[in-house]
Amino acid sequence: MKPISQRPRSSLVGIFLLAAAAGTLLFFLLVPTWDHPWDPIESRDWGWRGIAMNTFTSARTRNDPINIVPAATTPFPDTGMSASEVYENVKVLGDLDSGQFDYLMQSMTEWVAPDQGCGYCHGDGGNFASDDLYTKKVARRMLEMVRDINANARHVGQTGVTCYTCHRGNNVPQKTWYEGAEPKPPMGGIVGKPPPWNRTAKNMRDFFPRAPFENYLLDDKPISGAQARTVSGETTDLADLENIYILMMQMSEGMGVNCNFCHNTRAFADWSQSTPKRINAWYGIRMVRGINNDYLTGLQGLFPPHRLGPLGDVAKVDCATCHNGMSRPLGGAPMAAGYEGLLGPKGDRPIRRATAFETRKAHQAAITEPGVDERGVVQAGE
Amino acid sequence: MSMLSFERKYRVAGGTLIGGEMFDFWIGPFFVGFFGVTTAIFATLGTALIVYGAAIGPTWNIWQIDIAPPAIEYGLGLAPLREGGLWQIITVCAAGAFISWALRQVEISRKLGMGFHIPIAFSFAIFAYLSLEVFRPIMLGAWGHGFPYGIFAHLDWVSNVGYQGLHFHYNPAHMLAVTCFFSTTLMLAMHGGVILSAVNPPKGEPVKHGQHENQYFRDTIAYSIGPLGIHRLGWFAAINAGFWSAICILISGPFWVGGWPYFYDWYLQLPFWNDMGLGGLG
Repeated sequence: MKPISQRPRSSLVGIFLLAAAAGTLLFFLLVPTWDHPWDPIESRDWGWRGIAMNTFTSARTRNDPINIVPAATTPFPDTGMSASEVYENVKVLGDLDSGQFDYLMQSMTEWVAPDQGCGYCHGDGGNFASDDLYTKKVARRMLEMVRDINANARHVGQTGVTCYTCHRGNNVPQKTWYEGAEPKPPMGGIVGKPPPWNRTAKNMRDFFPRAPFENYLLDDKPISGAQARTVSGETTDLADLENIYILMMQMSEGMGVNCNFCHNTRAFADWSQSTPKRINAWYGIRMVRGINNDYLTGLQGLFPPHRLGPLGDVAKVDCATCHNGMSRPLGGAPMAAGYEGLLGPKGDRPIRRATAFETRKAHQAAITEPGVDERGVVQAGE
Repeated sequence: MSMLSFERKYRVAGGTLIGGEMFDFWIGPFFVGFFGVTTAIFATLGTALIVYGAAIGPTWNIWQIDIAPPAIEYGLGLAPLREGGLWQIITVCAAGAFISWALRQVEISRKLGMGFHIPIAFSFAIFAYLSLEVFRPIMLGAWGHGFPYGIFAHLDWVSNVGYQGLHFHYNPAHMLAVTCFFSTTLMLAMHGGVILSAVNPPKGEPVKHGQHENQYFRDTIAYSIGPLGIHRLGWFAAINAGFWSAICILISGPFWVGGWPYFYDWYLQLPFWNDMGLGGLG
């Protein structure tokens, strides 16, 4: 064997390249999270056999502790007295039997504030009628929202939702979203288009731009025209297309499914080639818009600053907030069963309040409106 | 078909893998061989079954004929003929025909005293096919994950499998495969171009040879890999294209069930981002 100095240089280059390739391979095997065929992977067909309209779950997606259904609790016996006869200042559930009322209050504590207990909303002074804390006022509005959803949201049907569907034992649900500012031009980007990504995010869900949520889950911009006009007869511009694509990906990821859960991807737009799931998703999008506009945006003035986003807006919901990676939240467990207080009157649904929507618009305008400095030069952005 | 004058010299007996002298002869220009016979049997049976499948199916429209695999519910078991069983037999025939053809290439290489570069290259294509129709379905637990034998049907399959990962361009192995596909075709075009240009000089000029070809690439990109090296590099990029496209479909589902864009959480969690002062939502 020749000494190293006499060997052609190319052998050293080859050794270096092989080592680099091996290092890269090792990195990709060890650093990212992978699923495994021996989990096992479970799959379902949503279309005709052989055209791969399949969704998958793995041990990683099936065993997320956030989706463990809490143990059932025993309802309290009815007392024969209504909540408003027993307690003061009961505005939403006054007609409910006080036994049911107590049971619901206890459950709400477990669902939303298991660590803080009753005091999280009612304070530690013992005056349960007091409306001093913002948490109580928010909780009252959220109760109205849940009652409205259970009574009137076609998307939810008979399954029913409770506080736990979103909160999962947290004061604030884990998967929510805030509005994002328009990126400031000095931040650069490629050929003048600033990156709208959230670059402090720790996962891809949060990293994606906020525009898809703002346009389609807060505003009611039409979600259409994303496929070639030969199929859908619609057209759209590329920015909208990208936003629709991201919205659909966030929906899919939030529910632990993929495009094929609803669509045959040869013709996304065509309802006749879509699965019945798409109808429920269509109602879901409208329900999310309703929640964000009719209930959440209106609470903006109640929350303290640390509960608000960087632009001062309230946390809002998307599909992942309830679904948490499952096609049916908590596997379709009928969480609201046994809670009379969570079922509002039919048709109780308030007409979508223009005020909340307009408040947001005005707020957004205040943020983006250029300020004028003393020299009369208009400053871009905030 | 007549034989070229020098061709007889290369028609040597022996070198077969199995079967001894059985089928060790030529019919016209074609070497037969044991594996030539098995190729013919598998290919004929498979094609006949596809035609049979079309005959019992709803249409003779060439675009719409569809021999689909069994539904997922059949798992890795056998399905009735009309409900995916045909697809299963045809898949066995196809694998048999492809592998027989590769072994026939080995026998011919042995007869000629050549290396096995051609059967090795072809075996990467077979690996890609088997990955789609056998290995990935086994890892996902159902034959129903294989692609159907039908023109439009298999295009639907390709589209839907891509969207199973929400955005397939984020599949890291797909990135490598695409890179190798484009690289090998670019290199083939450049190599073909330099050869054609060297042997087609302007009128009155002599035909150019190896050093002209080398000098062309030394002048344009500062380096010529050489007349043997370009074939090694092209072969390497080509089989890697096939190899990584097989890997990219094998990991999509069995090793990552989510959307490929969401695979990259780990990238955002790499520690060095914390110190870069990047802007968030505000």
